[in-house]
Amino acid sequence: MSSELVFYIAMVLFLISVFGLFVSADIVSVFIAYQLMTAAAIINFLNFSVYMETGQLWIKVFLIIGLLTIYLLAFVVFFYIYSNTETLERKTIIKDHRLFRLEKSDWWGEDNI
Amino acid sequence: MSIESQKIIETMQYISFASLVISGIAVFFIPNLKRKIVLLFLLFVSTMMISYVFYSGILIFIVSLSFIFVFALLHLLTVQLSHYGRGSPLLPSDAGPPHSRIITARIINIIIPILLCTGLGYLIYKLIGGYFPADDGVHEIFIIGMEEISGIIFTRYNIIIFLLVAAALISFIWFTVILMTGRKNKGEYNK
Repeated sequence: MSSELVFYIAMVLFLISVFGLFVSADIVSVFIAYQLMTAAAIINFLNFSVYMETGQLWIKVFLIIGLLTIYLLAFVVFFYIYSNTETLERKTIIKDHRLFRLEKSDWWGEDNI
Repeated sequence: MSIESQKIIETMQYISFASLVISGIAVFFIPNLKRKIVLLFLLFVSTMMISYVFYSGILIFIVSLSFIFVFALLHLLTVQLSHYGRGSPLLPSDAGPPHSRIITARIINIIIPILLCTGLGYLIYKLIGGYFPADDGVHEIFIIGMEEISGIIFTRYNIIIFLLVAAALISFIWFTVILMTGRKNKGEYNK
């Protein structure tokens, strides 16, 4: 596969993850969107590491250290959520975590209360 | 490298990219949380397959160790969350907004991100197009091993500093979480 095609596939994955961040409501989907973004970054790094003459080793060491840090951070965040949620709070966690929410009232100035 | 090996690697690349894109799109339209976790695992397997076909198989062994812990914890969280169902309204049905309005809001919520992502993609395509030189896909292969990684870590000190800073940050967050959880549990037991 040519490097350009691989780059465009990584771009599509990144755009899917951005779409997912806007659309998804619950925290699991948001994490999956971040995971997709990470996958797009990994593909780009590996793509350029294969097609570059120098610096291949640096890119791979950076990838390993960076990914370890990202997953350890994700582990801490999930541990915090898992250990600090009460039975009633779980309903609110699952309900809404989207980045922005468009409703008629946001544009028309309607009062919801 | 022989032509057969190149073909096999190219086919593996196509398969893993296709599974990444398909499961990446499907994961946002499946309502069941457990299915989402299965698709997340598929995403991870595809990513690791890609790292393998890009001659970086060492990523599989090192990164998977940390991902397994994250995945196990996320699975536990999902099992607990899915117990309550998803999308169930907290308010009674007569108190909420009308059904047609909810549908309109959902459609707007999907259409606007699609337009945004399409515009962004078109912009990147226009700006990047022609940057890459003509490429036949045949290159000198460099397979990284544990020896090279340990060699570069023990000779360059900036990586050690980065590792120490990352470890300090993660430990700080970790101990904060543990202390907060401990205090909360203690408060509950004392009630």
